[in-house]
Amino acid sequence: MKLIPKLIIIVLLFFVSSDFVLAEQEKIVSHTLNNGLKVLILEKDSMPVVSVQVWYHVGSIDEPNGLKGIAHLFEHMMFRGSKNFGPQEHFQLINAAGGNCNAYTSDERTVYYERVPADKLDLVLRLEADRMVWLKLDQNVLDTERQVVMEEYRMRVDNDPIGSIQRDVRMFLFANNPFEFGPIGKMEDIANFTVEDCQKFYNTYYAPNNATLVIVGDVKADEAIKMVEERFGFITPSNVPKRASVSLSPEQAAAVNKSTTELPVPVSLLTFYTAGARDEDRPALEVLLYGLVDGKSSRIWKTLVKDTKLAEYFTGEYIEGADNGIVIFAAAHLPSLSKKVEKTIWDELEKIKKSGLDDNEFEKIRNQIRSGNIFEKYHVNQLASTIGYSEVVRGDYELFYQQDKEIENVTQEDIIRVTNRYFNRDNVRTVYFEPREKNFLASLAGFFKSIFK
Amino acid sequence: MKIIKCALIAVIFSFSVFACAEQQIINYPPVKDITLPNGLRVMLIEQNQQETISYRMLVNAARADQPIGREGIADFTASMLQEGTATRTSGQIADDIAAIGSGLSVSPQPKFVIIGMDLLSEFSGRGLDIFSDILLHPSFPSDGYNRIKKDMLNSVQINLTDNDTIAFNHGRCVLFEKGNPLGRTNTKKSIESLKIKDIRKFYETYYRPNNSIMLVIGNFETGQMLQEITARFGSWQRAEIPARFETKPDFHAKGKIRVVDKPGMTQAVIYLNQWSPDSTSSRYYDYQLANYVLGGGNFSSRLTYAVRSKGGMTYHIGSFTNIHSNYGVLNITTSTRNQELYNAYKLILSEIQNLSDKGVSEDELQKAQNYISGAIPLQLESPGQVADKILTSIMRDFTINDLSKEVINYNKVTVADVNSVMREYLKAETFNTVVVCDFDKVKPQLDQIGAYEIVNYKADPCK
Repeated sequence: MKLIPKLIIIVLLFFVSSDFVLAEQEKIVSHTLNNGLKVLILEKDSMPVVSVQVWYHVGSIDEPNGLKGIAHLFEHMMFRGSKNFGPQEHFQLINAAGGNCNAYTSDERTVYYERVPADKLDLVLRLEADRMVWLKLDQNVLDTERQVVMEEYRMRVDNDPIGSIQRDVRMFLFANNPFEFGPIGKMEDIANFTVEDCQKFYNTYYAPNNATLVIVGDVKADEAIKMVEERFGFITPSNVPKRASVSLSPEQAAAVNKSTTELPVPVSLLTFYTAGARDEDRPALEVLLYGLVDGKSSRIWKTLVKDTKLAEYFTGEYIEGADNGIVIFAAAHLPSLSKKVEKTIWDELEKIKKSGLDDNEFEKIRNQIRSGNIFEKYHVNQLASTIGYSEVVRGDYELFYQQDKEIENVTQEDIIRVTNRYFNRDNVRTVYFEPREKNFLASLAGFFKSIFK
Repeated sequence: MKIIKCALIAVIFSFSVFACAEQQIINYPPVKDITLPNGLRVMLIEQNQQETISYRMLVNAARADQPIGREGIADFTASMLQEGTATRTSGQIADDIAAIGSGLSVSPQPKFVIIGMDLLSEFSGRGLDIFSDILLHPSFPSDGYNRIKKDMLNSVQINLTDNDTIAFNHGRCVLFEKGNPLGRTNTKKSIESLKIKDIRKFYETYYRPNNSIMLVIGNFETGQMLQEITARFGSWQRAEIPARFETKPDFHAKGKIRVVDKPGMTQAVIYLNQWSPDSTSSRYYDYQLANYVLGGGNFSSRLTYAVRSKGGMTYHIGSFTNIHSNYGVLNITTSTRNQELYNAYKLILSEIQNLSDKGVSEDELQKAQNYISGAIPLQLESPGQVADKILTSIMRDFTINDLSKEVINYNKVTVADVNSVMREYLKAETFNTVVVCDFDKVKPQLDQIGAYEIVNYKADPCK
């Protein structure tokens, strides 16, 4: 029997308290290895914890036709063993150290993350380096993991009405574009991936010069850099192809799109295209969206749900990439009310184009964002995520420090300009979902509301 | 005997002196714990090096208190708190909370609800004004009532599109004895039966100081905070609280199988439950470790290894416990493609039986203990997490002293302890099973599982 040495807890007394808040003098240390791996480290000694995140600059938009879903499947394969660690041993060793780990794939990136007691940093680095260079790919493991991913597809898309809506929206808005299928991919492609496909994908994209390593927690930056050099320094870079420029625009989709849903009421979506996370209007858009759709004090929720009662539910989402973004306003409402719902949203947007936000709204939004940023700093994983996001998606980790200032600098003119820029009739596409099962009473109620409201 | 070395204490804390002991103590911050004359327990945790403050009010008013036929009244009441007070409309409440960059959270549990606000401490006074106002002076206005009612009726319908929720709702009804409010689910009929006067009565019955605990953690001065809380909550009137339905777990009852037919599904959801030791049991720690090995430990667990990693039959499988002071429930849940339903089900049962018969290895137990030893402190990064941990633990009859010794207690457990608790409780024949599926597509496989009852997914689970 393999003996697992008992975990020696270095810090025996955890005190649940202390300086949770990031002091101003704490700075991110940036260091790039000779092989191109960029390392960002933030020392935060309030808890004996460390978060490690490896951001690979590859996602579903990098997949060629016929391999839709391979970036996500690959995320699974990365836990199935490498030269020095067996299948699932990554999870098991992290768990046995008292930590947690997981990963996610998006359109533009694949991120692996661990949170462990701080004295386990080297273990995490060993595991991450091992699978960056020595991942094992074989047919049996691929066949099993393929089934797992297909189950995930059935669970998240086929048998989940929200997942089905998301799939349909992508197909309508991004047809024949690399964003069309998203990370979950296509079932028929997933069924046909080969070990050779996986090996090629791995050789191309899983390289130190295509990754950013973020470390946040109770570590010393100079010691952490030494560990990173030791574990990752020998890995050779690869010739990573430059990502082709991908643009999303309303011209790629029909003005009006229709589908059906398992949900019991119709759902109407207004979608607007934006220039993404690296655009200079991003802070103003963030403030605007807080004012329009964030919670029960936001303008559209108040008007649509509380005052006119035209919608049963309303939510606004912003899905952002580096150079593209989509704002979605989604309302669930009784039948026959979609036009009134849309008009109400447009009326609110027109008010902002004319007068902007009022002073109270500005103060409220600034407090909300500032508060959110401060609470985020209690959690090393969230801090690491924000630093990684600033670097990989927004293009510069230094933006991490600018979050509050960017928001403070947003003016009324910015809000009006951004509303005009994005929320106009030329930049919108609509998608309607009708319930598959008709409800007579709901239809009747909607009909009367459409007349009298 | 396990020897834990005390190697280093490297953490710099702003206040407190540590002694290095050969123990794994989690030192919770000092708590000023007092009870006001009206019965309100107040717990204050002053941490002045922070810029934030978190308010929590735990009220013992939950699903466990709902009369039969009035399912939904507890959540309805909690939601109505934000819909208006004697001096604020719902819009004003939303605006006032947003203006200070905060939000109000309502976390309903089976036996209590926690209402919370996290905010910057510069707004602590304004925050406490709003917090106390919504808790003490709700006006239950008709427009808010209509909106919440509509939301809750919609939720009943939307829950019918969520296959895991369907399975869980049926599983609760199968497990809990007839007449126990904890087994019942909100229905269109029960929500429609709730009138404003019912909501008000529920509030007046259960939202009482002697039925609540207030906890504040963050940047404040204890004496002053106590004065402010007393000024606002001191006149809250105590009242006698009705007794609850007493849950009586039957550990020997034979498990039942229920099939919930939902046409069109391409996967079947499999959900199992059975009674487990409660939080006051001497076997609590043994059982939690057993659950980690079974399915609570994700990729370190036997179920995930067998059904996902080796079998490729699912994306997710796991077990988890709902533990309270007078009962506990072990839950296992997964979903699998239609054609694998029988194989997945048998594999789950076989893993359970194997674990119960042959027990865990020393290696597995050590890994489970190591995980828990490391994971508990990691779950306490923020003041809000500390507050919620303390409050939920109190409801399980744990003291803060118990919490500080949690890791020690887990590490005392032996292989013999885990194996005997599994032999005692983990019996394949006492698991209830719910399968949510397209019945016509999987009937031959269901027939192999055993005798089952079949209901339509739209039916009231307890009818």
